[in-house]
Amino acid sequence: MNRYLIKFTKQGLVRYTSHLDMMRLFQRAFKRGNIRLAYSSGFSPHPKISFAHPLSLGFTSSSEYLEIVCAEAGEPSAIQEALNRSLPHGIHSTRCKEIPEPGKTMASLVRWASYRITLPGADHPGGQQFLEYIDQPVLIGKKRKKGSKELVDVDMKPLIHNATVVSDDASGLSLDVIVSAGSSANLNPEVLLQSFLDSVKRGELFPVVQFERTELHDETMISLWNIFS
Amino acid sequence: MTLNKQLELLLPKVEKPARYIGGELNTVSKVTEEGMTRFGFAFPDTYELGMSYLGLQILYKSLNDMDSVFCERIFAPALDMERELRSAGLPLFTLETKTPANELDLLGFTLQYELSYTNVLNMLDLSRIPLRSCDRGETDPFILGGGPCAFNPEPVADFFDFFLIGDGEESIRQVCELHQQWKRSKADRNVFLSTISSLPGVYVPGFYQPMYDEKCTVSEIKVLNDSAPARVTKSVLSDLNSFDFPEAPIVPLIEVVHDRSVIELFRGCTRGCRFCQAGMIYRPVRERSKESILALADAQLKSSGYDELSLLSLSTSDYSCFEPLALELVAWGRENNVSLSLPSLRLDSFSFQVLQEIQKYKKTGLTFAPEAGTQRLRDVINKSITEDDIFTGVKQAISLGWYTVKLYFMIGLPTETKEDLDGIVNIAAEIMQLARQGGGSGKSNRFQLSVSISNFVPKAHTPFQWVAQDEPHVFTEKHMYLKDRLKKLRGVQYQYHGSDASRIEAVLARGDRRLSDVIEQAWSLGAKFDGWREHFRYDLWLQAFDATGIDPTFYTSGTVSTGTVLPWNVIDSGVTTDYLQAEWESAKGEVQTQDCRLGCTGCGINTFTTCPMEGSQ
Repeated sequence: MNRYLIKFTKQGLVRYTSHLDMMRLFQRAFKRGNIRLAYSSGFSPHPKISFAHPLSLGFTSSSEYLEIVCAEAGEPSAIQEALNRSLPHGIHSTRCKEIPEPGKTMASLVRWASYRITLPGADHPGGQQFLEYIDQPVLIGKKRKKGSKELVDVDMKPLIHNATVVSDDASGLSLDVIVSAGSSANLNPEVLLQSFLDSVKRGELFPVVQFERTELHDETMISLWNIFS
Repeated sequence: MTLNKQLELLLPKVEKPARYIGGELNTVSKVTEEGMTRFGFAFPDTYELGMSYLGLQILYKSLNDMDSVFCERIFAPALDMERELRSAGLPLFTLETKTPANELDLLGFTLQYELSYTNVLNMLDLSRIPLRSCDRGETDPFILGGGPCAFNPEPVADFFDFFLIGDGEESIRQVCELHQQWKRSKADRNVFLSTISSLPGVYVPGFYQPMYDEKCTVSEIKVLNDSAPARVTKSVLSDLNSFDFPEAPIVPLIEVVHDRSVIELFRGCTRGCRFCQAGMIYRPVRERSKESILALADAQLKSSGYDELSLLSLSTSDYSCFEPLALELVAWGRENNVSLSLPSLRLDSFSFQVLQEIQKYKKTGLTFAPEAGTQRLRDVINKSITEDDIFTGVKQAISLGWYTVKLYFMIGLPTETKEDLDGIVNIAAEIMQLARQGGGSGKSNRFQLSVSISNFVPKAHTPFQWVAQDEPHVFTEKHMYLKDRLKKLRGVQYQYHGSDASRIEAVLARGDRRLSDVIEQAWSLGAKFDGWREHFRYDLWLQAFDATGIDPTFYTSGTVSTGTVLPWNVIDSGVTTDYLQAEWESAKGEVQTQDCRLGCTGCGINTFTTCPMEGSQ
């Protein structure tokens, strides 16, 4: 036992820390909070801690997941409090609970991710344009090939589950999308947005687009938090 | 739009944006009030380098422990961020509150290496602060400098309002207290400078005027202000234990060069290597108590969550109670899942025992610094390590399972001959021979020896402050000579420093005030990040010398040191010129001077402060 699921948020400038930075940052936070993690056995032991799904550099999130195995049993609420005392500004745990062990890793359960995409300001393409764009029978995006600068085509159509327009007015355009996430199929919403903006000849807006992850789901669209309840 | 908002628009466009965001654990935020002294601690290189520098953590705490002072950090933006800032018309800012640097009261640069001087100018320019102190007005911040390079501040004297010489943690507080008083008095800038110029360790270059003779060497240094002393003695923190060391260091959000908890074991060194400026200017040796170190290790772990602790000093195994300390720390580290790193160990059998304990699984490389290839040349430079020490150490290392060893050498040392270069090759060959004999297992096949060669740079305040540096083409020939011979040894890697950069470093290290023009010219031509091989532009420096009519050879040849007084004579390091001269004579006579823990060697430091380690063994 002693396996815990932790939900946390990432807001503000700290969104510019990478996945690797976050890994280091949480390991240190647990150490600071005096929460003793279990270590893997073997040649170079490392603490048992893993994120459900990496978050792109620059994205905020209201719904990140981390699982840990502790060296000793503890109250989830105590773990959460100790962690919150130890985390830097902008990262905050909202929930923590014990989950069965052994079990599949969170990372292997993730299939879909929800994002809120915001284009601030009055000058933006319309929400309807976006819906029409993704409604096309074939939807090709450009994705950077791993480890190189080369762009490759990616068929985005099967990777988009759902899209809705949240608001579309002078204060900005706000969209909710649910797209594939995980090791078998994955769509970074940046690729989707870049393709859309390019298609309506508004590529210059891309640097101001804000991305926030709002949930991670398994294949049946259940949020990770609810899988174990 | 606030600077913060404008900055947010730039961050997505630059590499490693987290360098510029602040908000790390244990950073300080204060409500800013009128009358407060706003201090900017500026590191003239990237965030990753600056955040690895212990002095920043010490001074940040020292200043922020004062209620009336708020110290924030500023780093040199990388080239991409600089472009973005310039094109958006934004000034350089503090990480804590994103305050433009020119709105601060005091902006203090730490001068750790000469090749960062152009970055200082670039940062002043990005901050819209006049480069030269004589052009600054009443609303501009005071620009101050400290660190080892401040022991010869002359090349950058025109850019700074004042320098803090020596240990800064106490003197910087005194300066801030006087700044508070001055601020309330509403007097002009010069009154403040005049007031602080009588403090120990404070050098106000505007109050001194070097006079030159027909050879361009310095004949006299005139004192222009009544309160300024003829010579500025360095500040000395006489007891490290009496001053609060950081218990809650700032923990970077991104990976930096040294990403770990650091405790200073002791300051100073008793070995007396004649090329080493640190060994001369940080005298006397002052140790932190073992109890304090153990308590700090615990406190830092609790406040930072680091999983690595490093002990810092110029020569770790010289610490008086090194054995008990090391054993206790190893046990402590094991209990807390903290790995230890002990740099600058002398590899005697005890050190091996400790290393064996702390590196049971992962064996990082071992490093030796013989510095010279023959015993004769090691006698000249007063480096006490012998070939026997090296070979015994390597043999032991191999038998315990280490298979990467690194050797540091310097070339261009005074009196060096071809024999000394051959000595480097011989040591490498002998070690490879030992590796072949010693292994037996498959591991010996992957034994790697790395030979790292740096170019000797004569520094101010050392026994070698009078000697010439090799010309760049001579360095290059020597590198080629070594390369040809070392590449024949299988398993030996050869690394060396650029000869041109070493030449500029040498010019600046013994420079006089006339160099301000050269540095400004080089910067305006585009020189920056000169310490980075990929950014260093020798051609720009040559153009700058040309344009200003200053001959770099004047400095590298040592002519600069032949005047009535040395250009840096106004700075008193505590070590007497007579001692340095006698050491230079001993060097020429190939005579070693003993470690002063074995008995005082008369450097002079004990005439103005207690020297606790003198003759302690």
